[in-house]
Amino acid sequence: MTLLSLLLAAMAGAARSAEFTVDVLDVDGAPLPGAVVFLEPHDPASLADASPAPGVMDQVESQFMPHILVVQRGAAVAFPNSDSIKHHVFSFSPAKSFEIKLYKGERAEPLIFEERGEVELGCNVHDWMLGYIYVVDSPFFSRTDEDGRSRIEAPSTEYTLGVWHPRIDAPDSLLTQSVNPDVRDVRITLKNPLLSEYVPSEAVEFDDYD
Amino acid sequence: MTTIDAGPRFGNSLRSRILYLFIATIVVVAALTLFLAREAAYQHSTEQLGVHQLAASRVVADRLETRSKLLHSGLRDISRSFSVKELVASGREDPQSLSAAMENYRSRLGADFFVVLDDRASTLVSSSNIDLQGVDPAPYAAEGLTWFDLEGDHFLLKAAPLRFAERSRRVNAWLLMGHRSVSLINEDLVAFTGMQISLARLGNPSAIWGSTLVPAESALLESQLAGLSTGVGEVHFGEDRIITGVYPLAGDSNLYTVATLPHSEAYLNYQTLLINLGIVLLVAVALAFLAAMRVSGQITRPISMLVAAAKRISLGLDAADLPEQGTREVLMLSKAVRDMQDGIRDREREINRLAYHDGLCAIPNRNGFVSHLSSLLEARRDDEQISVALLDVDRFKEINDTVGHDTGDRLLVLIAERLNSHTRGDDFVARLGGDEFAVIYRNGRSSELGESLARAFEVPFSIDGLVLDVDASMGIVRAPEHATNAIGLLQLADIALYACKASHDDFVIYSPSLNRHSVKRLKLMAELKEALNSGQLTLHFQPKLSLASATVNSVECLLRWEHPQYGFVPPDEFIELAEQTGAIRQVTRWVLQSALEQQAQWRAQGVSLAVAVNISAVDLTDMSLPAYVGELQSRFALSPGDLTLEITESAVMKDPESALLALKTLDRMGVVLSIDDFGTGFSSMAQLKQMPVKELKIDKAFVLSMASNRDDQIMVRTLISLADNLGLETVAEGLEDAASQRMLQSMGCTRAQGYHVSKPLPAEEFLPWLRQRQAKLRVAASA
Repeated sequence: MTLLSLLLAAMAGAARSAEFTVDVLDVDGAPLPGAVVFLEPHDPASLADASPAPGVMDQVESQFMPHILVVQRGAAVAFPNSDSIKHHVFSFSPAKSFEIKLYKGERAEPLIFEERGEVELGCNVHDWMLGYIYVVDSPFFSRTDEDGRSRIEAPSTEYTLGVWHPRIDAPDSLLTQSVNPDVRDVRITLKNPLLSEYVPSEAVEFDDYD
Repeated sequence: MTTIDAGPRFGNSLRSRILYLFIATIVVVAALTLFLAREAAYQHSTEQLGVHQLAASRVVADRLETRSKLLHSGLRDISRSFSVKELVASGREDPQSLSAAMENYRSRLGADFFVVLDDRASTLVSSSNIDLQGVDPAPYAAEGLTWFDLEGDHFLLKAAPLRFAERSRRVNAWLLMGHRSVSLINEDLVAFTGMQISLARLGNPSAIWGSTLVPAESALLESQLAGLSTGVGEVHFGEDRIITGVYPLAGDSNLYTVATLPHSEAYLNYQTLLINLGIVLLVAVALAFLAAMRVSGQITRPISMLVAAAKRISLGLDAADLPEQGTREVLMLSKAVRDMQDGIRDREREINRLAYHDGLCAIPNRNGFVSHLSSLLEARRDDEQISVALLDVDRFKEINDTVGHDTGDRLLVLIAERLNSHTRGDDFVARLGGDEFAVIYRNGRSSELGESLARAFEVPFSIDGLVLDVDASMGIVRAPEHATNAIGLLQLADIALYACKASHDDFVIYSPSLNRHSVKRLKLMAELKEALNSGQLTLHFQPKLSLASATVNSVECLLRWEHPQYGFVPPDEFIELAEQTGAIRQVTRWVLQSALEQQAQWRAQGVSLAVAVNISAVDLTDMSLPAYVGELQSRFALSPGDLTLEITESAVMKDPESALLALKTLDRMGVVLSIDDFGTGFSSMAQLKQMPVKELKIDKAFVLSMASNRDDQIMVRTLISLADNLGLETVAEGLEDAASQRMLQSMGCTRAQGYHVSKPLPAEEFLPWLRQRQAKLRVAASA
């Protein structure tokens, strides 16, 4: 870390907080709702040293609720079971490989997510259950609304803007770009068509959850 | 005669033809059946084979698909296994565990190998050295048979994606398992299908992917794949014919199952069928042969009988053995033959009746007579004598002409009846023709027969009030004395009859002398012409005495034949025959020439004599005769009035019209015409009046004994008176005594001739006789 960078960080910290507006449109120009949008500052030191907010990935009516959960790295995520049946939640994603064997209720301990990236959740006894926990190394994240727009309050500094959604056809389903401090409104248009809405499988009960 | 060959010659008989037809029909039917059966059996076998092979190929396809599905579904199950997901998730760190687990599943599914690829298609673990690095596994996750080729080997390869979260869009790994194609096509299929099965790709290049055939045969099949197409076909494994069934595997346009079966196996049943069918047809031919023999026998037996019957009928025999049973045609033919035989019999009877019977008199005719006589002669005992009388009604032609043919016919009928009534019951009376009858008389004397028959004519015949006194001449012969056959007897009887006519006896019994006489007559006729030229014929001259002057100034020329063998031949014997043969013309001309030549000679000697020549009825029809006479007279410079032609009354009456024509011509020439033998015929006064005659000659029958017979005197007187009234001169013949001469002279008869004057004299004697007489007269006159 150089002196210059420390200086800049101090300046940024001194800068007032501002709202970023990010619009995510698909290749046809239609809004993509539910996409994860986050800003990771180039200077991690600029991040507030507050502990990450915990998350909850509930299981309701044999579905992960929410379908996509965004947490800051290091956050603890609880996996309560609101159903009357047992679930066996697991993930073999590199970001977090774990398994919570058949359980019910609040019995499970929260898990700490230390790695950035996508954690794909499944239930070993209910093939149709699919959920995501996306771990970002930043407290500045949001999700696009129905209009494909997301708003993030963050200090003005240089960021890497990331957009993630399981339907985005890109490595790790992630699009990133650098954002200058003076930029407030970013419009992201996907280069490729969206991946299929769901994976056809005879073994899976379909539900409209994407 | 047409010969009906009813013999048993096999080639051409109806029987053999029927037989041939039967057998030919059976053989044709048999051959056709065999052919059709062969075709049908072959086609059926081929179809069956096709069906069988198609089924076999379906079995193969089904088994392959089953294998494929089993593998596919197994892989998908495995891919969802949490344990496998765990092992895959840690596969990079711990490939042994993953490999061991996959080996376990491979073994369960019976696959030949497995491969696990990671999410970047890099091999995580593999059971063999099969390298699927860089292969897109997605196509092998599809349904159906998916094949993977590697270095000449072929694999049924299936794949399943592994996702940690089943709904994930991201494939985390690929599980693949496969079978080698050669291991898929195994002995199980042979057991299932009963055929050798091969899996082949047809196209470029064609190749066997697996086969139950031994490698050598598989190689042979592979080499012939190019010639095969879908369906039943054929290849050769060396000498062996192999039937192939090629059917595509569902879902792959290039892959085919090839079911193979040796030809001998495929068509084994068909050969057996043919042999069985052949035996059945042989039996059928044998049965048909027997049936044909029987049928043809039933048809030909009655026909043979009919043929035999027809032969008997043609020989004139009675055919009673006609078939009574048989087919309708045979019965109809049988009836026709029977009717034909009856008809022939009836007609034969009628022909016999006509041939052997005289329709007019209702007695047998000549044929019947000859036939009966022949049979009698044949059956004659040695001591038996058979007499035959031949009768001829005298002057029947004249009777017929006078009273008409109807009456003549009725006279013949009455004569037949009379003959029958004057013979015994077993005598045989026949009419031989015309007025000729014949009677056969057995076991009696010939003279008895003659007398008996003569009595039959004693009583006149009465027809419709007309009374006819009829005489008959009869010649009688005896068998075996005179002849032993019918024709010979008739000929001899004819000779006897002729003799009878000449003799005016009631009957004449044949004797060999009569026959010689007859032969002589015939010989004379043959020699007559020669006699004319060789001087055997001569003229004798009988002087005619003019009664008023008692002078001789005319002669009648009479023909004499001095035969070198027989001596003197009387004119009666040959003149009649010459008339019949027509030779009379030459005779008459010879006589005329000789007479006129003699006349000319006499004149040259200072003697003037008229000559008279007899001419016959035949001469009167010779229209050149007057010219000939004229020529002779001018040749010898004679006066026509010095020639007299004498014609018999009957000659004129035969054909009065042409006779009259000839006579008128001669009359105009100045020739004197005379009626000879006047009074014996039936001349009518009216006809006589028309005749240009100058003279009548009174027959010697009236003159010979007129001196002592008063009737003759009256007759002669009447005739002379008649002639006188008609302005005709009369010549009396047969003057033999002085008393008659005086009577004739007193009756006014012009001339007379006869032995009292002189017998006919040869030319050399005539002039001396004449001179002598003239000398006598002169002496008498001077005395």
